[in-house]
This record gives sequence, C-alpha cells and structure tokens, in this order.
Amino acid sequence: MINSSADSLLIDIQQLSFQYPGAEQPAVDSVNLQIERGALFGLLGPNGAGKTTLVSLIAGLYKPQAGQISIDGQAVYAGQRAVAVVPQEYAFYGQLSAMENLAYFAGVLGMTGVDKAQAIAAAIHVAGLIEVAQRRADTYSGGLKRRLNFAIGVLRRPKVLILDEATANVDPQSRAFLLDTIRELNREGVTIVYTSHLLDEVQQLCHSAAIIDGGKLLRQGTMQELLHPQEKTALEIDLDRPPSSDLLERLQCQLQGTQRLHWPQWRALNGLSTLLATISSGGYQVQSIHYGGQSLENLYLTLTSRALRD
Amino acid sequence: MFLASLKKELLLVSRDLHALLVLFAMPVVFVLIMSLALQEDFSSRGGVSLAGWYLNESSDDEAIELQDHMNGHPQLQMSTATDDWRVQLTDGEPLFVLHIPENFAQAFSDSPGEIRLTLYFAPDAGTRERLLVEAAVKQAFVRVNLQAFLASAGMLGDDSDISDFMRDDVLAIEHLNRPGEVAAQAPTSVQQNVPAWLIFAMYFIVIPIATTFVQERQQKTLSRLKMMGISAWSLYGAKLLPYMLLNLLQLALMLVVGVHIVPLLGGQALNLDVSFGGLLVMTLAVSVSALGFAALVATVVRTPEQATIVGGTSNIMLGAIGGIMVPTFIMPPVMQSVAMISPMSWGLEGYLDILLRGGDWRSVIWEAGVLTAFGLTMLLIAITFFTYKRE
Repeated sequence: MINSSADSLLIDIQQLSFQYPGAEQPAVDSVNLQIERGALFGLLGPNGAGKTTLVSLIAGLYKPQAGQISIDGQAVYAGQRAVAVVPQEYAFYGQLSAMENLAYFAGVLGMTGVDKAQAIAAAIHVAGLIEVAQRRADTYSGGLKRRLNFAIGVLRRPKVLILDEATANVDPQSRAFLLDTIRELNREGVTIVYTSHLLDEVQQLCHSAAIIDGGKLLRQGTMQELLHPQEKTALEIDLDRPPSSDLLERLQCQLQGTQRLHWPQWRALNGLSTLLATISSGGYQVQSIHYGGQSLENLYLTLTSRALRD
Repeated sequence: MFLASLKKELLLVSRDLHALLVLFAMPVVFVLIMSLALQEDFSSRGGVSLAGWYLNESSDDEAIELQDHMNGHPQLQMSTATDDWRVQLTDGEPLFVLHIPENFAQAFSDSPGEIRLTLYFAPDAGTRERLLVEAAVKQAFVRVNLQAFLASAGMLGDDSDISDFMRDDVLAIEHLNRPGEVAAQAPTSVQQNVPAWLIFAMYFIVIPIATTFVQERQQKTLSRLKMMGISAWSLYGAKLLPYMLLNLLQLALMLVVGVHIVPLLGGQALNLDVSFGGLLVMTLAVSVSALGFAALVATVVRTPEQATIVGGTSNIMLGAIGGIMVPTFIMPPVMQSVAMISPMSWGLEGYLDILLRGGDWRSVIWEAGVLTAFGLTMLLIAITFFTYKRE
C-alpha cells in the first residue's frame, strides 16, 4: 500500500461501495484506494470486475451508496473540473470533423473566445491531428479515432485524466504515440489513471497499480511492490515438454500453462541444484529459469484466477 | 453551451441526407401532390364531371324532355348507352346508366302503375357521386312532371318554358371563413393540406432526434457529457431546442411552397391573409408536443433501427388517427372521438382555426395549451426515465 502524506495524496477512496439496482452483488465493494498526486496509475481487472463502475464513481457519474471519494480533499461530483475521462468507446460524433467535435465539447465545457481556440489548438497538437482536423471523423482509422477521443479528454487540462483502454484496437505506431503522449502529460503533472487489459503495457507504463475483481480491491502498490514483493519470490522453470504428475508431486510445485513449473515462494536458492537434479533424473531438459520476481500477468492471473469471464 | 449544441445539431442534420428528405422534401412533395390532387374536390364541387349513359326505350316527349334536363346539368356528361352497357358499366365507364322504360309517359298519367326510372351504378361509384346523380335525376323528373302539370292546367303558353317558373338563382352561396366577414372564395385544398402535412413533417423530427440520441448513448457520448457536468434537463434542452428552430424552418418552407410553388403547378395559392401571431403560437405548441414525443421515443428505444421503426410507425399512426391523411369530418363519430387522442388532431384544429376560420392567437389558446401540456408531460417522463435508467 502507498503510504502518502496528506499533500501527496490526490485521490482518496474510503470504503466505497456501489450496487446497481436489481444486481445481486455490488459492482464496487468496500474499496479503499489511494492514488498519489502525479501518479501514473494502472487499474486492472477482468471484464465485469468493477473497473468502469469505479471510474464512473471517481468521475462523479454515479453517487456512492457507501463510503466516500475525494479528489484533492473535496468530494467528487459530475462536471468537476479536476477530472477528465477518455472512455473506451469513440465518444464523439463521426459526422463531424475533429475541429467541429472539439469546438462542440469545448462549448459544453463552457470555453469561449481565445481560451476555447487555444484549448482546441493545443488538443489537436497533443493528439497529432493537425493534418486531419478538418476531415469527418468517421473517415478516420482506428488510431486516429483513438487520438481524437484522447484529444477531447485533454481539452481542459485536468488534474486527473482517466483513460479506459486508451490503446485498444490501434496499430503499434498509434499505440506508441499515445503512450508517449500519456507519459508527457504525466511529466507535466497530470495524474493518470489507466485501465487496460494489456498487462505488459501497464507494466511498462505505470508506476503503480491496483487489481480489482468482483468489486473488491485485491492488491495495490507500486510496480516494485507488486512484482518484487519481499515476502514472495517466485521461481519458474520452463521444461522441454509437459511434466508428469509424479514429477509435480516430487517437486511440490504448481503447473502454469503446459510445461512451466511455478513456485510462488521460493526462498532457498541453495536448494536449486537438488531441484534441477530431480528434473534431470526424470528425463526432462530445462529451457529457462526465472527467479526473483514475477510478471504482472502472473500476479494478475494468480489473484483473479484463470476462470473465463463474460 | 446552447450555441455549441445548436451548431452541432444543425451540422448533424445537414449531413444526414435521410433526415433532410424526411423533414423537408417529404412534406413539400405531400403538399404539392395532395393540394393538386384534391384541388377539384375543394373548388366548390364545380369541377366534378360525372359520365352517364341513357338507356332510353321510350319515344315519348316526356322522355326526351327528361334527357334535355339531364343534358343541361353542369356536372353530368350524358350520352347514349351502347349495347354492351352492362360490361362497360362494371368496368367503370360510364359511372352510371339511366334506364327510361318504354312507356315512360304513363308515369305522368293519373294511374302511373309500376313505371320506374332505374339507375345502374358502376362498382366504384362513391356515395357522394351517387347522391349527386340521384338528385339530378329527381330534379329532372320533377321538372318534366311540373311542366306536364302546368301544361295540363293551361298555365304554359306556347312560348313558355318551365325554366320561367324555376328560379335557379334562389340559392346564394357564401363562405363565412371569418366571423362577420364573407370571404371572396371557398377554402382551397392547399389551405387544408399545408397545415396537415406541416404537422406531419414536424413530428418526423422524432427520427433524427431518437437516432442520434441512441448513437450518443451507445458510443458513451452521453456518459462523457454527463461526466462533463451536464444535467439531464440541459442535455435534453440543448438537444431539442435546435429542432424547434428546424420546425420553424419547416413552417417557413411550407408557407413558401403554398404561396409560390403550388400556383406554378396550376393550383390555387395559399391565402396568407391570416394571423401570423396565431400561426407562430400554433407552430411553437406543435413543436413542443413533437419534441416531447421525440424525447420519450429517443429515451426508450435501444437501437437506431428501433428509433427509425418506432418513430416512423408511431408518426404514421398518429397522423392517420389525427386526421392528417383522412379528414376527421368524414370519419364516423366514434373515430372522431378517437382522433382526439392524437396530438396531431389538436394541432390541425388549431391551424384550421387560423387558416380557415380567421382566428388569431387567442382562438387557439386551448389547442396550444393541450399540445404544450402533452409535450412537457412526455419530456418529464423521458427525463425521469433517463435519470433513473442505468446507462
């Protein structure tokens, strides 16, 4: 968990719960979450885990049924200037150009005159849309649409920018552009909350992250804390073929995939030679050995289980 | 925000060819077609010309006189029947056949017996046509009968004619369109059709409104706007008010078509010597009712396809019930009562109060009030539904 001073804490969520009418279980269940000012924060979870609901609550779209959320010490509400959300969907008008879309949303945000013109120009520049700004958005590629979606989100430079699957269905060039832009905004002081299913992307991009499932917060921390926990040092050995159940029993390990042996808590490095000898005696060859940490994907699958979701 | 929304909605509509066709081209076409098609029907019925045949088996003078009177009728075109008249009649050519029996003169004797004139009508003869022909035949028979009576009474000289005793000018016809003021001419078909199809077109804003609203909901644009702090009332207001402007543009277009385009095609021009204040009040009231209805449809449908089908179908039903397609005055009493549930019926009554009966804004307060109440109620239901429905 992040231990922050009051000054560095930007988003503070305490015992937050929300249940949709008619639903059997809460979409967000007693969540405590703290996000530091200037963080680049990953929010992870399977489909239906409660990410979008949590984001909607932070953005003030829904009112908490229990608990509280504050941003910079103030309770959240819809239309708060501090927060901007870039939804996963292309939430703009395809029949309008980028310029017309930005002009409309700037008008909705109450911008006028020079401020409005400057904000539109800056958003177009940030999203790299200058050459296509006058073209109808429904003629854009997926990458351009993502960038326009993003540009609308940064029209009014917020304290917190929430990005929901911001790089879904885009080519590597647009993804790299968007990730660089996000890092640049973060360097300029914008706190980023980034939800994604692309775990490698989150691992590379974010400084800290939280994993939620079933509406509950399962784990939160910096990437270092999540991937290299002192109390948990995983050992993984990839074999040349699937191991027998007899071998798994003798090694007292878990099987990941078809031929990866996994020890979630391996502390005794000096026992490694014995372990390798046991593998070799079974006629198996070692392809690779991983020790001293785990991937975000492993942590994610361990925490949320491998069961398929809707 | 309103200006931004106004510009956005106008851009969206201007780039939606289907919406433009429905909102502007469709009512113009309807007005032109219906005004020209019904022109004769409204022009004091004087243009009606019904084809009839004689099947005359009598050579009596009375039969010839009857034919003469029928020939002189301004709305009948009479000629002699062919041998295959039964086949021709069932094919609709002519509309009727008048059979004059061989011993027709006996009908005027002291013992007329069973002498009968017989009218055969084509299958497609309408009630109004049948009544007109029946009246013409009875009138001709009365004339022949009267002439025979006067002659037998010695009251007709050799040079006298029954027409000297018949005063066709005894009936004067005036059109009291305005209270206390006699109009120069009868209401024209364009005077009736312009408001009817204007209302119909105004209600078709339901399709572009509902379609864009559903798309905004599906693409989470609505959620984005809500997160930007727009209240439900502002959201609906900003979306609907631009369409009120479009409704006013529709009014202007329809008036231009009625005044300038219909005459170019041979129809009578729309008479605009009416209360413009009344027209404006009625147009705003119909617009409010259409916008409220559109807001409700937009809120309850889930897909653009549903928006098009539900919006279009409900409009056509409201139009059919409300007297847009079939005037309520020819409906049976039960259907006239049913028509009252359609807001289009209230709108049409209000417009006719102004365009036909010379009313002003005070004359249409009741209709405008009902329409406004209807629209606001629909809007309230829509916003309530929207507020408590999970996006």
